[in-house]
Parts: sequence; structure tokens; C-alpha cells
Amino acid sequence: MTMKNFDAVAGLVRETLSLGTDIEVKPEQLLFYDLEFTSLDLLDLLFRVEEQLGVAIPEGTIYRHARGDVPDEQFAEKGYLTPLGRERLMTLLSDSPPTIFPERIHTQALPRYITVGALVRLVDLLQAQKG
Amino acid sequence: MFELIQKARFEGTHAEARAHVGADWSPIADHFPGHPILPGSVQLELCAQVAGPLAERVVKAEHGLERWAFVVMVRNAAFERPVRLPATLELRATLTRKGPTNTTATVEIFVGEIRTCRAEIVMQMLEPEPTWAAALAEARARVARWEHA
Repeated sequence: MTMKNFDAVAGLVRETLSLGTDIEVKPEQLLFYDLEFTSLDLLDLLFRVEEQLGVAIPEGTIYRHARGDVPDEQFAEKGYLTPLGRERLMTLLSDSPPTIFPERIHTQALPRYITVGALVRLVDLLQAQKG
Repeated sequence: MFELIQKARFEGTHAEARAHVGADWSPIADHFPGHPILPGSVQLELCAQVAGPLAERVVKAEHGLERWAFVVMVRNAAFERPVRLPATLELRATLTRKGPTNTTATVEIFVGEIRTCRAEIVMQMLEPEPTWAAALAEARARVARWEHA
């Protein structure tokens, strides 16, 4: 995780939630649990990331990164992650506490388990891929 | 409110529509007496009326999903010129994000050659519930009328 992107993302999180500068945003904070994001807040944050940091994070990005080379049918079934899919998500989001991952995880709910740090790593990766 | 759009065309991720608002349109009779001006909120509503069906079509075409578009956010809205009534408005929409659950359309409104409004309409794409059937049927019939006008 680059500090430059962390500082930028933390600033965008503050803007999204209208947090004062006295409130610290930390890499280990979970967007939905610790910072009380709603799905609209996340959407708003992703727009800001795209505009300010130049990388688009389209829907399904976490799904694709967690799945990697695993065939889709082995990763998820009927809209829920398989045990293998859940394990891969937990590996990708290794800084999220294991206790927050329910046994059944809907494929559209994956961003719920992301930390600020994981988002920054994703921005780092997408910027690197973009060159 | 849906009677303002007279015709619409949809092609791929783009849509164009025409709306007409008379100087005596009763819902805005007090905006303002003797100097009728179309409120920005109505311009945004018109943007959403075009963006919604556009998003529904694209999500169906690209993801094979029947979804209904609900406006959840308006971003970067700007009202660049007042729209004095009566006026015929040309709307141009482009879907810039087209995920299965969230979409965004950039919509511009022109009166003649002058752009009066631009906005990004962010929509959540919801799976229709059985109780929405009548409303959905009405919405589809309305859009079909716009297309055949």
C-alpha cells in the first residue's frame, strides 16, 4: 500500500462522509462496519476515486480479483460464494477480521468486507496496470 | 409529469428525446407568474425519465437481466442557462457506467443550440417485484409511445 494513495483515499473517505479533519481514517478500518458506509457512500467514494486518482473500479472488481484463475462455477454458485470462493475472498481481504465473513456470502455483497487499506491496494494495483 | 416527453430514440448506450413544456403548464404555474421558467428539478426529472429506460435496455442487452432503474444520486448537475417557457428541449443521454446493479448516465439538455443543463444520473438497477407489474407495464407502454411518435 503506497502512502500517497492512502493519504488520497483517506481524504476522499473524509469528503464522502463529511468527516472533520480531526477524525483519523486508518488503513485497518472497515468501510461498512467501522466507518458506517452505506452502499451509496461506497458508490460516491468510487466516483471520487475515479475522478481524483484516475482509476475506475467497476462493479465486480473485487469478485474478479478474488476469483483469479478459478473457474466461475467453482468460485460461486447460485449467487453465493462456494467454500473455495469464500476462502479466496478472505485471502484477498486478509486484513479484514475473519469473524466478519458469514458462511454464506452473496456475490453482490463483497465490497461490504473491504478495509480502507484494501481499497488503497486495489487503487495501487489498478494504477500499476494502467501504467 | 411523464407527459412532457414527446418522443425518444434509443440506440446502444445512447438516447435522444424531445420534450415540450408550455408556458401554462399548471404544476409550475407559480414559477413565476408572468415570467415562466422551468425549474432545475424538472430538468433533472426529464433527464431521469430518459436515463432510466436507457439503463434498463443496456442492462438487459449486456447482462441479460430484467431490471428497473431507480435514481439514487445526481452528480455534477449544472444549470447553465434559464429555460424560459414555452420551450422545446432536446435531451441527449449516454450511459457511462453499466453494471448489473448500478448504472450512470450523463445527460444534457439543449434548447436550440444552447445547453441548459447537464447532470450525471446514478441509478440502482432493481429486480422487479411482482407487485410492480402494473407500473412496469405502464412504463413500457409509455416508452413505446415515445419511440413510435
